[in-house]
Amino acid sequence: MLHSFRTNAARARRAGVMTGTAAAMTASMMLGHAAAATDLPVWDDYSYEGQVAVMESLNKNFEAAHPDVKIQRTQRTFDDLALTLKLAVSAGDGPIVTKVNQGAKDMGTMAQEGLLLPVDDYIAEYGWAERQSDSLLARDRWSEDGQFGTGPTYGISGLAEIVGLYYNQKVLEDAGVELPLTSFEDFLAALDKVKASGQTPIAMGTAKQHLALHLLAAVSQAHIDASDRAQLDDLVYGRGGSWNTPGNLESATLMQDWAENGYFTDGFQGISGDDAVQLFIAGQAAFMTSGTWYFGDMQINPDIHFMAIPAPEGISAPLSVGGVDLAWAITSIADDDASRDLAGAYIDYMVSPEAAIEWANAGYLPSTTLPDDADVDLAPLLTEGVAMWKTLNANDAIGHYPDWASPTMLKTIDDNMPLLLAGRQTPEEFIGMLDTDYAGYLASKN
Amino acid sequence: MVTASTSRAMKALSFRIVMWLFTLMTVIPFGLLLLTSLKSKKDLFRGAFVLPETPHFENYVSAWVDGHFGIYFWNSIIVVIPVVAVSVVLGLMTGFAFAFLSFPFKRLTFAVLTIGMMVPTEAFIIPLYYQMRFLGLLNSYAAMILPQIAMSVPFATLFMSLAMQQLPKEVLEAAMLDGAPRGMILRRVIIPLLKPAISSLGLFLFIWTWNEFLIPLVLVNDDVYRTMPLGMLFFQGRYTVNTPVLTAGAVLVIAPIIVIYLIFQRKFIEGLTAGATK
Amino acid sequence: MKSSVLDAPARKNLIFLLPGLILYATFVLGPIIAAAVLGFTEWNGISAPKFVWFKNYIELFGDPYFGIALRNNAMLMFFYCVLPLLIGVALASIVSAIKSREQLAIRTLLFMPYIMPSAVLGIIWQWLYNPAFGPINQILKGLGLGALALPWLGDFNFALPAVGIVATWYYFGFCMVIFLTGLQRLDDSVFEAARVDGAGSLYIFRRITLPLLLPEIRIVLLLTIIASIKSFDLIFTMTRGGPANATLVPNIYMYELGFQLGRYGYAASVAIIGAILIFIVNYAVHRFVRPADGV
Repeated sequence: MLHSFRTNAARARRAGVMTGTAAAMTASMMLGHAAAATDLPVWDDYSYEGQVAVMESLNKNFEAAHPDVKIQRTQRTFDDLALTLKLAVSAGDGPIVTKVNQGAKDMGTMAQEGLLLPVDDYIAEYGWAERQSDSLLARDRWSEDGQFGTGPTYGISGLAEIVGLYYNQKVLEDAGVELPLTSFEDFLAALDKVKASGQTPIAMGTAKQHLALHLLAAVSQAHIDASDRAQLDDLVYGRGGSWNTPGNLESATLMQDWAENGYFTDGFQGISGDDAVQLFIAGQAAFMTSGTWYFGDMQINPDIHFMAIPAPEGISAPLSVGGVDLAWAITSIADDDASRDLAGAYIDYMVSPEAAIEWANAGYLPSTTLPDDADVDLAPLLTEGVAMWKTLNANDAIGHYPDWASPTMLKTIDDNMPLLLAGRQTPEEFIGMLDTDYAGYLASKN
Repeated sequence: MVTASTSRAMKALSFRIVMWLFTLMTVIPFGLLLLTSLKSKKDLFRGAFVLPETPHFENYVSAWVDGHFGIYFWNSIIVVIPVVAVSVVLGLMTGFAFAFLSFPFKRLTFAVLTIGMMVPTEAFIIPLYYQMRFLGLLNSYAAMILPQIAMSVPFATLFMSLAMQQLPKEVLEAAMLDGAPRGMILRRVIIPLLKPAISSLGLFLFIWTWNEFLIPLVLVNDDVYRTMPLGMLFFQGRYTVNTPVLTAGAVLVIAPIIVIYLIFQRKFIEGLTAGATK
Repeated sequence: MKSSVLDAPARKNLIFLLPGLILYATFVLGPIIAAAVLGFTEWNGISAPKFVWFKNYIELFGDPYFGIALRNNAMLMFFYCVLPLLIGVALASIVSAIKSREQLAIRTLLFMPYIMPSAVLGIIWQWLYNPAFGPINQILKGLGLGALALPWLGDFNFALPAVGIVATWYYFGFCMVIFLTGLQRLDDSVFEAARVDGAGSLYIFRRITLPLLLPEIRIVLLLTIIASIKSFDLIFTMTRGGPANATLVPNIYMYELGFQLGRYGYAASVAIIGAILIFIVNYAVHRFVRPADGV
């Protein structure tokens, strides 16, 4: 009932647009202009300065190739997008093409409510599967009964993300650390050396953003060999399992130690993740664990390099947390073939090799493989990132963001992480909280 | 006798110092904000109180142009003016009714109006969103203007009716005896007498509307309609790694309020306290 | 109500009343009623709401987070109401004794925070408190008090007081201005008489000034208590309820439930409880804080 009301309303609105378009066409013919524009409302979350420049240029190129299309771009921050997207699309008013966060909270809910349309036809039509590996596309799949990782595909991403270890070569050398670090044990020894030299070993800020979550997951997943990844996949795709793994336990224990013994930035509880990035760029810490999305900011300081968290002994192909940025998706606002096809063409351009080159030139890591003969001038940091991305893809070693596992997981981790770091919760209790959250989600699905 | 008066003078002096300390506490955050907005990113690391080598006015250019504050500024103006003007007129009319006229369910109507002053906007923003969607008004200036007028009605009514009740009865009676119609009395007699109250009501509504952020946050999606405080919020997400530009944006948001406040402050505070204590 | 010379038959009066009331009913009252109805449903914001009657409210009573939010709100009242009231009265009695130009300057400056958008103030204070870049800890370290340079908004024990101090800072100037006008309303001869009788200044303040200021105290209490229950913007911009819910208040909880977790019905029931609390406070202040002579 509600659904039919919605479609009718959308149709009525669309009819209004059509009448408007027709009127505009008549007007433009009378004035002797070429053609009237079709509007394509697009929402994206590219809000950092460098990203905005790339998006504006890509949109301009698309409009140049489709002179009858006018892109109406709405730029939102990550939080702002999560807040308004569902509300807008379910009310029948919103973007035709949007970025949407994978995972149960956003993409999962929207797919099940019919607010997103499958893009499998366009994957076949444009051959997206040749540009990006299947394990990446699996992150955009939701089955009809709410199973993550299988079923129709609801989106595709333009940028790759790896959560890895940024390190400041100069700070490490000053502390007498020998590079490269080849094992997890080396990493731990390096932390102690930096601490002994009076510098801050790890830049951290937990007041905003999710640096602590990324460090926890990155350390934990470095303990998983790609050949053993099934357990983690099951967990994140909602097929069951427990968070009580040796990797999680060790990671939580280490983080508590680091917090209590001054390995993190002084006052980390009161500064945001972005503040910690500023401090790290200013050379005020030896390491920082975060994602490739900071490449643009990090390259200001040439001493900063990027690597995977080195694996403990016995693990040859460790997982790195990461994957892809929010996916481009088509919403239910696109309710006729013409607008769906236009949306498909837009997304195709956004994940094209041409767009990938533009992103790479701006210092960002594209998820679409760069053509071998591509005319790109990669910044040093990005060269390290591209190499890592190739290895990880070859090893099928791209891990997962733990917060995708349930709609409330991000909040559960955010609520309990400060307790863990302050020593008010044991690592076991902390992991117990994650298990409780997860069990609740599994129960609610059935 | 001498000691008594010196000790009294000492006491007065120490009270004075306490008073100015509190005043300083109020002002210093704004001073620091202004200072930071003129720094470069590098200056930031040299300490909050250190002056920048040269003032970096380009932070303001970058906020105004790249941060779209130029657009947000005009949007705020476009929203604030009709909200204030219409709310004042409605406040005069409804306030007049509550002050002098009788109608059924007067007490109940009054109670229902006060509900609107107590329930926070967060509580009804979701139904409001669906209503705006139903009316086809999402993403328009009307989506911000209409609800904010409606939200101003209770306070404007209360404020105006209290002010009218204090008017000398003889003036009204004299006007009535002249046989003037009531609309005319409202316009020609009451409004001129209430000028101070009307201007302080206008200032209140100006400040509240200028500062509102939840309504534009939820009811407007498009950047071309965003108002100043919302722009600020959005800006924080976008430029968190650039504190000086962020603070320049904050200065741009509060500067118009400070200017208006300093021009009208005497009237404003008098109006406020007169309205608040009655 | 006494009838006025301006009165006329009701149907002729309605023309003054209806335009404002209709707008109010459409865009405020209607949505409020809709929210109250939502409080009896389970709704994810997308599919059709499901009526569950009092289930949300029953769940709310056993919800530990809601308990934390209420307790935090009670603590915040100290910073929203008690402190600004005390500072405001004290400052007003100092300021009322000085010359008018200086008085005007002080009054103008102290009132300034009250006119600012609280979202922007939250962003400013977040930066003031910042342990890495913020001035507060730089001052403390500069004074050799490095041990006191806490992570403020990130510290379990100090986050709530740190947020509260900002609220105090926001309201004390406002309180001062209201008390100042109150003092100006009072007749000097009362104080003269008391002084002649040999009463100390503290005695005069407690026994004469305070009781005479009761109307102002009432309005200050009413406004600040309601503001503390409504508090959202400041906390939202400074801590979003963190760390680990140390600064969670009902309105933040409502926001999380609705916009982040998609439980709009349950969120609406939180909002309704908040509104009921405001009504109770309003009633209590009107009922119990009442001038003895019936002013």
